[in-house]
Amino acid sequence: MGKCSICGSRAVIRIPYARINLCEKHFIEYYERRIERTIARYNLVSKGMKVVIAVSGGKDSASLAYVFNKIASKYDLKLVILHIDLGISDYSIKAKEVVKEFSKIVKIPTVIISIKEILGLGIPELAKLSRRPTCSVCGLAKRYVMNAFAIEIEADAVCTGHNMDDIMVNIIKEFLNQNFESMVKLVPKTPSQNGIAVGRIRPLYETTERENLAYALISNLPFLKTTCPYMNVEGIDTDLKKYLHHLDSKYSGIRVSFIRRFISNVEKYWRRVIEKREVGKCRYCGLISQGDTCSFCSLTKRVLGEPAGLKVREYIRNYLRSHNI
Amino acid sequence: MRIMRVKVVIYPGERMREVMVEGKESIRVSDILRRVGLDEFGVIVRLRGKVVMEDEVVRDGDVVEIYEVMSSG
Repeated sequence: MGKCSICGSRAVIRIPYARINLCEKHFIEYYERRIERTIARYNLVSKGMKVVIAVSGGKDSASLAYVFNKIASKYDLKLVILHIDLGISDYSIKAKEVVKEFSKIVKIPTVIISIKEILGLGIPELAKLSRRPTCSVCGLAKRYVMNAFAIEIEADAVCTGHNMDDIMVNIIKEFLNQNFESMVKLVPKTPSQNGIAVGRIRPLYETTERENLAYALISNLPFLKTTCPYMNVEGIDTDLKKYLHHLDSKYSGIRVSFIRRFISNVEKYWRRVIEKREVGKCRYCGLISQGDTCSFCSLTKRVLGEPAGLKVREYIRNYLRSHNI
Repeated sequence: MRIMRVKVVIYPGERMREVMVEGKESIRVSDILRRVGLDEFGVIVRLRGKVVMEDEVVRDGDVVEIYEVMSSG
């Protein structure tokens, strides 16, 4: 029987990069401490911040929100959960149910924004009409709604459940495409831009997907036990993740050291790329845009005949007013 | 030779499989994982409501819940 490296009782998980086995109690402590250290290492939060936690219903964001709720008082954080109903048939219905159940447990004010209710179309229909891949349209819409919501609620940061594996896969994919401008955004914290964009924080930056799953299961958190029907399990993301797992099992700790070296190199070489980047306001919705129209307004203008950014912002404003948030 | 029947549920998607394992010695989670072709570092296993490691002994009639890490959203 595997024994906990700290107390000698029955171990439930092996942490390969740390070369330790942990029991339930010590894994929970280890996991929560690891997130707190990530917060401190990258200076992700400061006292009194208002933070929007994006909760999808999956294990990563559930574990993240649960831990954040535990540490909120220490930093005097004001938390709000945002769930975006993507209108993906049964999958989105189940996700919404799980988030409602989760919200009751953590008792954090929770806002559910339905894309279909605002636009009259769910993500699959929007993707079909725009002739773009579903995941790309989904990502674009989620990023837009998260930012718009955070702006309207006057939040200091949007907190997302991207884990170490997701981030590494994205870094490698952007590198393969030689898309350095997108690559430099894959850091634990991005800054807010006055009135047009709210900064992102990623407290699971140094936490593996497997640890998030174990934490959610051990803590009995409700989370989705199905995958999005549009997820490509045979795609490059899965292949890269499998390869990285293989590398980590052979060369213990390679993922953590990679991610830390990436951060220090981003600071050294890429900061000027971020600083040089010219960002402006979308002429339709007034939120962050590289050109004169943001990607969301551009997409909705093409598909629906009119840009929908302002509509989203107004919907959110009305929602917040009517729910007294 | 002892024959054990173990029910395996693989998440996400609740893919159910009944695995019959033959053996004189006790059967462990690692044997079940081998039977279903999954690697211990790619999954978290729950047995009798508790997260367990691959060396945990499985009993006849047990339900082994296997959560695949990489596709669980």
